[in-house]
Parts: sequence; structure tokens; C-alpha cells
Amino acid sequence: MLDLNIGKDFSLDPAGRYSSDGEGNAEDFREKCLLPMVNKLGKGEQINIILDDGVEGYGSSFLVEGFAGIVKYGYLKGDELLSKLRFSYTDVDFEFYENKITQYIQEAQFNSRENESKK
Amino acid sequence: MSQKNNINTHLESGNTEDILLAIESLAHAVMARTEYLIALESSLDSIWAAILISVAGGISAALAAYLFTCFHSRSVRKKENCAHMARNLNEQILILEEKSIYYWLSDFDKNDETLQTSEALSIKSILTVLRSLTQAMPAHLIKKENELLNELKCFNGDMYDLITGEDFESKDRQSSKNKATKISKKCGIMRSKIVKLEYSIV
Repeated sequence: MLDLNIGKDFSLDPAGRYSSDGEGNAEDFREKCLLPMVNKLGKGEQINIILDDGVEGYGSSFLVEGFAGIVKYGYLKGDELLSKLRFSYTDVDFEFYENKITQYIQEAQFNSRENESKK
Repeated sequence: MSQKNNINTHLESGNTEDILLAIESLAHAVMARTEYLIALESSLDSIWAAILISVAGGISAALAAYLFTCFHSRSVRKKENCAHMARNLNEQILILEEKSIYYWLSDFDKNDETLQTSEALSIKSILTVLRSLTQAMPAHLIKKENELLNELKCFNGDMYDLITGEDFESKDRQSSKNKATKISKKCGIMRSKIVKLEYSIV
């Protein structure tokens, strides 16, 4: 089990969709944090994503691009990605974000978009 | 007294018949006294029973009145809290509507980045407050409220997707009148439902 603490390992203010949106954007999160970890996972292993350690909240643009982007750009299928992730938080309000991430991953069409970096 | 004299006379005479008569008279006297005692005893029982019934009745009535007052004031308090919460919800939805419409009716302006970041943070914060208020609504108070609670939960999710989706917090953001209209319409419908709830409670 690998831990990915968004607040400590990525940014305390995750916001924005693309690299052009500045620090803490979802594209950087996906390409520099989440995907490398997913690729490192052994068979049956999972990433424990800590959602609320210092982070106050997320916009849906960040969550869609950061998580569902992995499916949209054809890295992994939705159910495959979901089987590799688990979420933890101490603030019960973050259950909402967990549900949203799951919803966005499930709704994403596999390999439906080309990954064009906007940088 | 005359009965006692009678018995004495019969006994003193020594005659068997007289003795039998004396015994008979004595038996009658004992029977009469016993009947009197039984009547007295039963009359005493009914007085005590009456007193006990009155006291128990009084206590029950006082207890019932006390319990009624307790339940009634509790119910009134709950209704007031619920109405207060509905008013708060309405205010928050109105603020969310105003802020997000303004946000989505303007393009990203690099000369005013601080203000736009502050607007985005404020919108996310209001969405969080709305979710908390929805969770705090007492679901059991009104039957109809359960439907409204579910609608509110859906509304929170829809508004989150609608307002913070696409180019939210992005430097590529372009104004979207269509999005602003959708936000306004959805907020207006939800506010009217909450106002109806508020009036149905009070």
C-alpha cells in the first residue's frame, strides 16, 4: 500500500485544470504524482489517497482532470483505476469528494481524448 | 338492653325451652352486630378507595399536562430550528447564486487575479456550508421534508459540478451566459421549494 497525501506530497491548494493554470493544477497532479505511483504499483497493490490533510476542498475541474483524466486519455480503464485507489480522510465532508472522484472516473470514456499539454 | 334482660330472664328460669330461646336471641344479637361491622367496614373501604382514586386521578392529570407541555414545547422548538435552518439555507443559496453568476459572466482577467481567486474560494466555501446545512436538517420533522432533503443533496452535487466544473479556477476561463442561466434557474427553483417548506413548518 502506497500513500499519496495530496496536501503534503502535492499542494495545499489544489486548483485549476491545466499546467497553464499555475501551481497545484490537476494536470501536474495526474502526470507527476498520481500516474507515476499507479505505474509503480505491484499486482493487487493500492494507493491510499489522503484527501484532507491540510487541503480545504477541491473544485470539480481539478478532480475531473486529475483523476478521470487517467481514463479519458487512455492510461487505464475506469474500473481498473478504481481498484487501485482507496481514499482516506478525517473530515467527514470529504466523503463528498470521494464520491465525486468515483463518479467522475466511472463516467469517463476510456481513451476519448488526446492528451495535449496546454503548457 | 331489653334483649340482654330477656336472655337473662330465660337463663334464670332454668327451663330448657327458655335456655334455647336465650341462645337463639344471643345468636340473633351476634348476627346483627356482625352485619353492622361488615357494613361499617365496607363503607370505610369505599371511602379509602374514593380518596385513592381522586389522588391517583389528580397525579395522572398533572403528569399528562406536564408531558404534553414538554412534548409541545419540544416540537415547537424543533419547528423553529427547522424554519431557521431553512432561512439560512435560502440565504446561502442566494449568495451562491449571485457569486457564481458573476463569476461565470466574466472572463478570466489576469489584471484582477486576486479578486477572482477570492471569488472562487468563496464559492467553494459556500458549497461546503450548503452541504453541512443539508446534513443538519432534521429529516424526521415533516414527511415532505425527506423528499426535499434528497432534492437538496442532488442540488448540492449538481451545483458543485455546474459551478466548479470545466474552466473553474482556470486562466482559460471564458464567460458563459448559458452556465450562468442554468445556475440561476436551478438556484431559483430550489429557493422557492425551501420557502414553501419554511411556510409549511411555521
